[in-house]
Amino acid sequence: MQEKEAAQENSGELGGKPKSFYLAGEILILCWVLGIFYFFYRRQGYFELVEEIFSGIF
Amino acid sequence: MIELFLAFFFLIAAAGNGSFILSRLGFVFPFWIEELSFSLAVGLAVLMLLVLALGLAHLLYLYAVVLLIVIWGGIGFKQVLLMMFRLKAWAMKSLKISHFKSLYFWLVLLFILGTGLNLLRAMAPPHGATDPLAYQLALPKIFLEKHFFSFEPTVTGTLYPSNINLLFLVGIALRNGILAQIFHWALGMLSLLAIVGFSQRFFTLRVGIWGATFFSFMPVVVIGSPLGYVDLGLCFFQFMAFWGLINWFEKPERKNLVLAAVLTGVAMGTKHQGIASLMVGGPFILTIWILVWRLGVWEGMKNAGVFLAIALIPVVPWYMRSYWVSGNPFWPLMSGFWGGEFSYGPITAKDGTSSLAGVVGIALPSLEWFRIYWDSMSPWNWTFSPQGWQKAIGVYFVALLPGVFLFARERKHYFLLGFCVVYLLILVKFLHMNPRYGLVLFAFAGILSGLVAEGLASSRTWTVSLLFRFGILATIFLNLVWGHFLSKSVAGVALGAESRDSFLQVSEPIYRVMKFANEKLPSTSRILFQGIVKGFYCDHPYIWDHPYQKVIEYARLKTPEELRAHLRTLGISHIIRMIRVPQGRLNLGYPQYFLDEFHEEFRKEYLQLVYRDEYFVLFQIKDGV
Repeated sequence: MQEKEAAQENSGELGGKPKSFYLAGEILILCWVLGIFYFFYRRQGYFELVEEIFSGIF
Repeated sequence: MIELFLAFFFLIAAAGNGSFILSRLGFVFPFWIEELSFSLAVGLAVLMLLVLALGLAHLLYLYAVVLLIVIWGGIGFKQVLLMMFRLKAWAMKSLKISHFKSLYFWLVLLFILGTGLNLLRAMAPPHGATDPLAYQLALPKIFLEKHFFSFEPTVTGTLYPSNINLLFLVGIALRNGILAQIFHWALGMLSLLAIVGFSQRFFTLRVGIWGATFFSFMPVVVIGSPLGYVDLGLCFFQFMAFWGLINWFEKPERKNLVLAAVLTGVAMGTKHQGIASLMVGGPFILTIWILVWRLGVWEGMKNAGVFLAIALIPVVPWYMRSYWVSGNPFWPLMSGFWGGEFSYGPITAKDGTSSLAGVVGIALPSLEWFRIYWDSMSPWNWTFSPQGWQKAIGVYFVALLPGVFLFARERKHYFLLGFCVVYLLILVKFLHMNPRYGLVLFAFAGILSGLVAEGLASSRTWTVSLLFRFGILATIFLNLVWGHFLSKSVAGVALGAESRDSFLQVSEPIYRVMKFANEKLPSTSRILFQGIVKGFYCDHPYIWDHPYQKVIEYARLKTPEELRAHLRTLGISHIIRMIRVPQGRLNLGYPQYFLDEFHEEFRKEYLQLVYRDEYFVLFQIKDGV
């Protein structure tokens, strides 16, 4: 199994698909995840809570 | 703080008891987290069933409860010692200083910190949320006072299956409502343990740590876990029941099926919504037996029948009690079909589930139905614009689950995805589109999200991995900030710097009038609540005056004299009334008592003011009984 995976890696493929497919997928998902995180926490007012804490400290 | 120690020893006793039973039945588990999870589930289930038996036998006395707990805890004492030795051995072997550099070590530490903030709120006296003070904590208190499971005809939930309330009953009997709240919080912790254990068994430990992190920071869990609700208990027992079924699929021995069935029954006895476990479990067994193993329809039906029959055993006492009192074993569901003297219900669905035809009809949704209800059932809305905290699922599922299509590479990944889709449909169609009623879905969806998170965090492209890890840690920091804000107002009372009495006088509006009534009214007083349902702090017998009860039907009472006579027959001597009933309750059908002609006429003639604050008044009924 490990030999098969190593052979796939050397050929630039993973799971029958090119590695670039997974890389593109990972980047796409990462952008989605970070975008959703930002949109959610800004919209729900979490950043204001952080500001409130730090304005109390400084 | 005493409550915390009691809860801790209580959980240890549950683990010991469950471990004793499972080892006697020949269960062997490959991982200690799995063994601990099943031991806790079985130990708690045994205790709940024993308390159920006490209640049905009219033996709910403090001495009986204490005796029961001593015997129950004592049975597993030897197992506890064995487990502690094993835990120590595991800790010596597994915990290394190098783990401090691991992301997963910090994830565990951070979600424990988050749940610690929730625990702080559980350590404050019960206040705020309506349901716990109205029935989930109030009914166990009444049962203890009356020494059996009395029927309170005006109190919502009086006939619901209530296994978790039995744990609350033990908490209130031993100490107070705070211990009951800590039990609910602990059931949330057990759900996290189960998520980690399940993932360790079928995926990886790391996936489990991600899953537990995501589940622990769901807003509905953050807000609900320290309160006297029962939903995290439902989640835990449903999760363990499904896990038991998958264990049976892995190793099809009869004892595995029996364990899954018992846990399904316990979940059903926790809340009506637990019936969903049966809705999934039965077809799962049939599908596996007939379509996957191809072992014949008849054998499949027999196994599904065994599962159903055993699952019903723990819950049948609740159904029989309900049928005995109301004529409907599932009261208040399907009241139209079953009828009976109390054939009404505050949560009878408006879309036709009150009849058998309605139940069949609602199982077949139309596209129009989806269009109308989309806002109420879409995970996107549960994330970004939830209608109340009960529907707030947080950010992780919408953010991560689309990545399943990239990272799901094995059959078990698709199986888990399929389960989540099926359970989402059940939640939407049968569980009032309320994520609080279907937390087990999010426990499994957390694991699925964990798969995606693990894929991104261990990406071979270091920028992807680094950015993702940074993003996740930022969200956890923000969640902790929110948790801090939620808990800072209760830190004083939770840690003993403020007295519970003074805290409640400020934080729970109804507390002052209840305290006055407890201290000043004669012990024979019986109180009618008007516009109010939170009875937990009332030590006198009481009834509610909500629009669904049939004990006082104002439409049938033509004059104040008739109302006076009716209250006399009920033994009502005092009324506690909300001065200004909020619009939400007026919409339910409550009158605005001080603006209602009939109630004003009655007040002028028969009521004498005894107490008032800015929210409530307490009247004595003239010539009260």
